[in-house]
Amino acid sequence: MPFEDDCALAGDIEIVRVLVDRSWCTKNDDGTERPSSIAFLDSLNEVSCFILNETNLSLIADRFPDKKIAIVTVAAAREAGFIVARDPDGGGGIPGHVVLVQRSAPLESKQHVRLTRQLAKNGRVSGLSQAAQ
Amino acid sequence: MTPLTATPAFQHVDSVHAVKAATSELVPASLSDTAPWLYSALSQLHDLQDSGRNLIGVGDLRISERASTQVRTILSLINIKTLPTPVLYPLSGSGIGLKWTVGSREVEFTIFASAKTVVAKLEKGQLLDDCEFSEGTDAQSDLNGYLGWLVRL
Repeated sequence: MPFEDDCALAGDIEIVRVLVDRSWCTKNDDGTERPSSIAFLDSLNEVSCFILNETNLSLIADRFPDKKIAIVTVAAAREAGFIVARDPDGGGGIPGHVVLVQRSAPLESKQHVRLTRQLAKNGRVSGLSQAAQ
Repeated sequence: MTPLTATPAFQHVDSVHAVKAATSELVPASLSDTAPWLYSALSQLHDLQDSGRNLIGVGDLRISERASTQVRTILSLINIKTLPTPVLYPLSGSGIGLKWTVGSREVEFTIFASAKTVVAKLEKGQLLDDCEFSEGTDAQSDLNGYLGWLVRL
């Protein structure tokens, strides 16, 4: 069944993406970290994420120890052409699971990658253990 | 079809070793002397193929065969002998990323599971140019144009 945008999710609601590879985050000029565009790409066009205020970061930290997370807002995701669809079964028991699905650009195109880069630039990075406390 | 080992990147590589380097086997250590960037890229590719898992809540990090073949094809088309070591990383959904960085310049390949590939040229994090890479007469010149820009002083 195709994913449907959940319009109840909007604005500054924050979305978490687990950064499982160190190349999924990069450094800004001022030394702070932000997610890389690659973090928000998925060949299946289903970027697996969690709604920050609905999920349990401790459960995520247990599953992915010592990893960082990227945080973006729902508004930024929508501006970059993604819908935010609920997918409660996709989190493997961790609540608040959603998928970002690109709907504006042709999949696997340079426009797709550009929009993902736009989203990543609006994100920030946090340590998962730190955020869970 | 031209064998992979007959392409520019392998011209300075011993042919016996090159055959092994073009497979999923461990890369021969002698490549580290003759083409260290290529040795590193093939080693990293091997490691990613070996370690890739389907992670619930993140995505499938197992590298698809088509993406893996595309990485090798790209590496084989490079005719610039002196390059820094690239970084390879998983792309969710069985794809792979490949990036070279020199100072503030980056050339980034995004290779999806289907093998569709987007190449981007960035400086100080800003996109300068990008294209969809497909095999053909222009592919090799596009690829080497981007990488030539990367290492040009």
